[in-house]
Amino acid sequence: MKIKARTIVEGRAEGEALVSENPISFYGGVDPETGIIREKGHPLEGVSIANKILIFPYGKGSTVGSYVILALAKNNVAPRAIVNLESEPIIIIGCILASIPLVDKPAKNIFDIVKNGDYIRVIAEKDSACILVSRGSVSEELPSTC
Amino acid sequence: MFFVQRPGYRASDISQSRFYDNVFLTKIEEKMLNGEMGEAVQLAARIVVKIGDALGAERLVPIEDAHISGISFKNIGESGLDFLKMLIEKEAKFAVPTTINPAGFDLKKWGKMNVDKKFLDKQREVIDRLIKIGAKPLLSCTPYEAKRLSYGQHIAWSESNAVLYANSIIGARTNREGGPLAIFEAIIGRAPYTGLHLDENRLPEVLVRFPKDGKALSPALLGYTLGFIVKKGVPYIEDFIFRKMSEIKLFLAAVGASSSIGLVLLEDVSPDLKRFWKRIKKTELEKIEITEDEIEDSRSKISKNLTKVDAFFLGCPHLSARELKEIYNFLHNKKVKERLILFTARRVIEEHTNIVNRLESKGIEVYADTCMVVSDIGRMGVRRLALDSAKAAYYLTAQGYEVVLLDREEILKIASGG
Repeated sequence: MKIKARTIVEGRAEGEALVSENPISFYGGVDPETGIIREKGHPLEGVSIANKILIFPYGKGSTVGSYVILALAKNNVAPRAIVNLESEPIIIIGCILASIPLVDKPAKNIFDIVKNGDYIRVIAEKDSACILVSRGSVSEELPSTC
Repeated sequence: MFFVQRPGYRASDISQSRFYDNVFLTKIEEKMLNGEMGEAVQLAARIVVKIGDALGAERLVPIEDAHISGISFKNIGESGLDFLKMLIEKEAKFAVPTTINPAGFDLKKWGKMNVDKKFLDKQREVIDRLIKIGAKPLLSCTPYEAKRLSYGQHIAWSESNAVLYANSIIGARTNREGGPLAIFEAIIGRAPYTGLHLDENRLPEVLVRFPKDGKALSPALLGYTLGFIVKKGVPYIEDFIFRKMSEIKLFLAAVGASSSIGLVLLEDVSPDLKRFWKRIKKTELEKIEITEDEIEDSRSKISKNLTKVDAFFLGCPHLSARELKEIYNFLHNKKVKERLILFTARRVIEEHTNIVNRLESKGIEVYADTCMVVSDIGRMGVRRLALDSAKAAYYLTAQGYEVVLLDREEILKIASGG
């Protein structure tokens, strides 16, 4: 399955999907040392975002979240790529500084299609982006271009 | 072979990253981008233009003011310090008046806050570096009380409560800039002309009503619930009952913590409502009624039923001079029996030493330059606390503290043994 998207920060990444239908506050909501979501009552409370393809609608909360994204990368517990419904400045500048590929505006309802554990490849190039989804398996079947 | 990049901070990557050409640039902006105005300006221009391009901005907009969040070393850590070092090496300078958020401790009374020596040095380095780039060390999250802003001015502020105040109360225009983005925007004096800088994005999308007996409810809790339910966009609040600035600050700060909302249109308060009233068709807006259950649900996320606390905290956002006076007026003929800790701006302390001295003579602790969220209150002997700010309640709960959210008046009554 291929889903077209919009490139915000260029790059390529692949890995296991982690899906949150709720917004994420990186500052306060994610532990910069471990990558574990610690917001009380968040559907992903206790789950690590490290090395995942992290899919969530948009950021919320503190504008310091950008520095948390940077710290996650420094501590090797950042997501490999981020997919948003609509990215906002806090997430974007964090991903630029941390070199994390970022795409938004997926052409299909990504929350209907992608489930936790699906294998995802994100290709974000200057003029095009896509999200390639392989249900619960590995990357071999996925093409390497959009 | 599918090439995959590893996330990680590499300043060289940013400098080499491609820039985009869908954004219309003036001659001077092109010079910035070409490197004719120095390396730091070039880097900042590349990033601001890149983000503008990604968000569909047609051009950049000159900004008149900037405010930067992410000052406490506790929040930005070594990677934040490295980032500032890189900017100084590139000889970065802010092009517009730029103030900064609270730091990790009171610059004068840090001894009383039991600050760790290593933290002390690191924090001072953060502040020194920002001053070197040209920041004014306001060290407060309420720049709207220190700076004169006017309706329609374009600014670049991070610090979510200040963004909401600037947009919703003053009618100045800023997006919710991430901390480092506000730095880049301040360096080139420009921001992408997108989001809340544009008229059409300042119109409401939903009409929100609170329960009728909402007067008994705390403004902080209503704001927190609003953000949690509405999540994004521009909500229009009908029958907004809070008129005191202290209540409005608590309300907006809470919205900022629980959502990505940067502008709330408050009936009879927000200046944009006057300007846009002809374009707002209330009956056509989606309606959201916030229920008592939803308010109780959001309370349960940030507040516990504590019978005993180590301290009571006020000052998120920083207390204004007027709020300090109100607190003093409430307490002046009472004995303060509990540990009460207040946070305000340095400027307020300097201009109102009289009130601060009188508060302190009652055993109340008054700190500037910092707050309960970005300092280390654990080192001040606090595990369980009461406060009136849903924003601080959210972040301190996440930091592992036990928190009870009360109204300011309740806090003052309990602290004075009433």
